[in-house]
Amino acid sequence: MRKKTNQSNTAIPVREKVVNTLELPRDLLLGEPMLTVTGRRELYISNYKGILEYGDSFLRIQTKTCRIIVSGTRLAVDYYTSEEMKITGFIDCIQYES
Amino acid sequence: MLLSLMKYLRGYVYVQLTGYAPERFLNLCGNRDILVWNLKPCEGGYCFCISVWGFKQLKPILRKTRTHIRILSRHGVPFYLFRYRRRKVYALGILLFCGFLYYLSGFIWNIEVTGNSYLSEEMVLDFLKEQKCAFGAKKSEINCAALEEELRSAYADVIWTSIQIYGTKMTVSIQENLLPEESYQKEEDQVYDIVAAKDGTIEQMVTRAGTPLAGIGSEVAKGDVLVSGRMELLNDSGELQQYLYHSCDADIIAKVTYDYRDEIPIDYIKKEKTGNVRTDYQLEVCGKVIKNPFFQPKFDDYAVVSDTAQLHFTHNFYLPVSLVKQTYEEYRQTKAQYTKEEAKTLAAKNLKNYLHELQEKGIQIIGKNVMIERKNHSYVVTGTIDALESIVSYQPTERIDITDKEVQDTDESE
Repeated sequence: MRKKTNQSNTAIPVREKVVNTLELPRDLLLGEPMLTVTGRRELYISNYKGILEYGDSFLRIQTKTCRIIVSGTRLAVDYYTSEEMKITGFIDCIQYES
Repeated sequence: MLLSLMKYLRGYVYVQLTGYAPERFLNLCGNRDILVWNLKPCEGGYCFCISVWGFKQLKPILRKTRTHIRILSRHGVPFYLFRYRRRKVYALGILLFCGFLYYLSGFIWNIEVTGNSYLSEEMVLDFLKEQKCAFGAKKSEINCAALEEELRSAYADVIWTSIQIYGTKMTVSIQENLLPEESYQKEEDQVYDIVAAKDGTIEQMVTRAGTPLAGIGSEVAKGDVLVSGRMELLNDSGELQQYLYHSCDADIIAKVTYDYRDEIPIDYIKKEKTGNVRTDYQLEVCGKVIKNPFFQPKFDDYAVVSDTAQLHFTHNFYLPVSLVKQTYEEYRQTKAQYTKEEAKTLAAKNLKNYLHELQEKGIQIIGKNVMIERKNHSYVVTGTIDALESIVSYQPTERIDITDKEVQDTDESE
């Protein structure tokens, strides 16, 4: 019983270790989000699960590992598909919430 | 750019989403691969664009998330076509346009000639016109291979041609024989003497072939034989045995004197521009001039300057339509007299032009002696101009047959 819990606890670190040592892309294997920010006006996010909240000045996005809060002014979603979304507007802050 | 064009062609709607869980609605859209763009939060919900196909898939999601959707505006070709579905003539016009475009693309509209240096572009275009393969010819009626053959046989200098048609453009590539032909080929049985073309004194003389009959410093008159093509052949005892004939070749440069005379009348009519200008435009279609009926020059004396601009599609496809711009310049006529100074400058100008003309012919001016004097009602300019020039001209050699007979006779007696 104890052994089993140990295994389940160490499962993720082992997976991460393998990815780290083999230098494999973390976004593909660990499902981590990818953010591409161009200046302050464009932000591409991929590997997310969905939008949690959306207003004119903030945007909460749920990803597999964490939540991302983008705040700014006049934020708009240019396009929104299951793989990627593009956010435009004036970005003040990108914050991670676990 | 391409993506937005695709969206426009397929059609899309701008909608407003309101209700209980709009975020959930968006996530469901994402999961079902329904593209949503230009998403903006607005009063009570969100506004976004969605394709017509995507919009039709929304019903179950709307029910699930208890949201409502309202179309704000419609964009794209399908809606456009629906809106104007009753405009039959418009549709017919578009169809006719496409048909006409297709029909016109079966003709030659542009001709490019490359590789020609001796043969001018106009000559090639004229040739194509003769063969009925110029602008406006039907592409299906042109046989490129036969045309190439025809072009090569029509112009001997063309050693290779390639005629290709891409779209509505015809490319004529030409390779010319750049080796010069023999500059002059004299017939073998005709022999020429060199005779003086003008009176003069020989200054330089180089004889390459023939018997020189004049030397440096000798004064010759027009028509004098300078180098003879007849050569005497003497036998051992110094008697004339035979004449040999051979064409002459020589450079002979002589000092030639030109007489110069110019007369400038004292009274003349002075034309002075008043600066009043009126411009008229005319249209010329197929050689017929269409005048502006409302235009009148309104001047007593005027000079007309015409500028013609012919319309053309490409750089060599000229249409039979040209625009003529006519400028009417008014001038005033007054009687005037030249003063001595004015006459002198005018005379000098005329003389300069005359000398320039001579020099363009390759004549070298070595001296001039010109005087101006007043006679009755005009200034008379007289004088001489010394020049160096080639006086070579050709004339058939006279054949002396009697001697040949005599020679034959002696041959028989021996």
